[in-house]
Amino acid sequence: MRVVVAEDLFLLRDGLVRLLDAHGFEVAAAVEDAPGLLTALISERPDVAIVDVRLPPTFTDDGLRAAIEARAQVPGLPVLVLSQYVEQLYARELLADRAGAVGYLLKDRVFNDDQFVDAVRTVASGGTVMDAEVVTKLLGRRAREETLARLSAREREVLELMAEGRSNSAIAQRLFVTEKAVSKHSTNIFTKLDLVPSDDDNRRVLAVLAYLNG
Amino acid sequence: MIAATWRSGSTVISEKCFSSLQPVPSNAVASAQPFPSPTASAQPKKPSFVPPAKPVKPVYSKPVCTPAPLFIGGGTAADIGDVVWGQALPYGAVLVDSQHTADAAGVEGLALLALGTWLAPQTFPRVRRMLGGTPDAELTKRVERLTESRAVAVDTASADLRRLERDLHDGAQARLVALGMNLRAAERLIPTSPEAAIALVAEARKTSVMALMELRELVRGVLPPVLADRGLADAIRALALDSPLHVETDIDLPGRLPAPLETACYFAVAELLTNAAKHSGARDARIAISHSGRLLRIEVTDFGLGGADPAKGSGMAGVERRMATFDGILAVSSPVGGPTMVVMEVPCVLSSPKTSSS
Repeated sequence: MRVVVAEDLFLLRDGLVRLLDAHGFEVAAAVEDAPGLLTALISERPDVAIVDVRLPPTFTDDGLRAAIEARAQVPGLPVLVLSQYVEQLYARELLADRAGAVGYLLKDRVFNDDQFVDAVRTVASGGTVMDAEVVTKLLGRRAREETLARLSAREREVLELMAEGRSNSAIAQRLFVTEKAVSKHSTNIFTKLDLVPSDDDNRRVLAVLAYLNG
Repeated sequence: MIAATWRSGSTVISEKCFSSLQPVPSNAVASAQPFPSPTASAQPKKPSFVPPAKPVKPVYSKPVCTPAPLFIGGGTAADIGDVVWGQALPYGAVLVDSQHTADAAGVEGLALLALGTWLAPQTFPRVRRMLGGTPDAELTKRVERLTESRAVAVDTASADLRRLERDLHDGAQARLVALGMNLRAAERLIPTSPEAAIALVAEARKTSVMALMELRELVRGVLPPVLADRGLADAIRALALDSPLHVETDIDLPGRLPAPLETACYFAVAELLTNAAKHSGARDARIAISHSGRLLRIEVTDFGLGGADPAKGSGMAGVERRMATFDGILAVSSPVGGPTMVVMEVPCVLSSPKTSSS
């Protein structure tokens, strides 16, 4: 799997490249600013890009904007955005094209390399991965709203873990239930959110989007 | 009629000082007679604003600050025309050609003196103040306000720095010390008991996550990331998304505010929104921000119970004090039953239009 990495701090860039190497990814390019990222994304067409929000030249949200721009040029280009903080506003902008294949995680999630690598793979295969912190914030707001009020407490828990990009088996492990139970819960979620049957991955993405965008 | 005369007189004088030629309708001149001349009083009294029977060319006063005798002396407009442009020796508006008219000229002089004395302090109040009259109440008030708001600004800045230092000292710094100690202990344990070393390293990792979390909160309290990245409009939108209330935003800012004001406005809105979420019982709120002329206007409305008293909670009073540093004002409307609307207005100029793509 080919990856483009964009991170301006040498130590972190180096760390990321080594981590990805160790897990069998091929790092096609490791760039340090937004223009470099855009060029690399268009020319390399990687399977997934890992992008820091704050990049030169302006050191504001250049990375995020470059990622959104690249996805406008190459629809559905898988991008996992990393940041020192997560903002619902930025999460919404990343999700706005409804194309999936997008992730938004706190930088320290790389400490748990197994989970981080899972997230990279989920995004690369078209899934949506949102940081638990974004999901928690949304839960406080969304819980009262009508659509989500239809879900049972357990179904909401399952949806929350789905939004974090976890597979059914990971959700089952986390909730101490069988994978079959999780699968039943997800079917209920899809029905209650009026998501017509199609392939399961797509419905997962749509459920998560419905959940995140309200 | 006399008041009208003097008012028009004072207008004419000030305009003469600051503007160019001023046409004066002749009927106004006719009515301007605090001391009517014998000839004028002999004539039947006319209502003051009836136009004269025959058309008269307008009389123009000259753009100088000397009193204009044309308006003061007696006679009709036609007489005045004669006086100014005629052959005899004029004293102001009076044609001095006998003892009788000389007396009239004396009376006219006295009238001018009286009028000048009365008008001077009214027309030039600033001059009066500069000459040591009563102190400028407005100016005194402004100095008081500035002294007070400066004290608040200095106190707030100093308190913020102390809080930051204490939070760093007790939080991230302490955690990094613990982290270093754990790692050193793990290093020693690796040869003899690798399992214990692994446990220590795992703990060190958790400690670093905690330290990062604390630093993140700290940074958010100093300068929220979206505010730094994109300015007030998006920062308020992000704030609205994070609020437990359902917040509608209506923000129209064609440029960025000066950085210190941007931060102050952000935290003011954040505090008002937190207040609303805690006390108003509202489910919905609205934030409207606009800028016109040189005035920034922020409205924070919650559709809750109302009856908020700015004097009671320290929140609103604190916001008001901090906005005062920028010459901002705050007004609250909170009838019982709601809604509660807080309006802040701050004079400021926006910088160049934003370049952010979204």
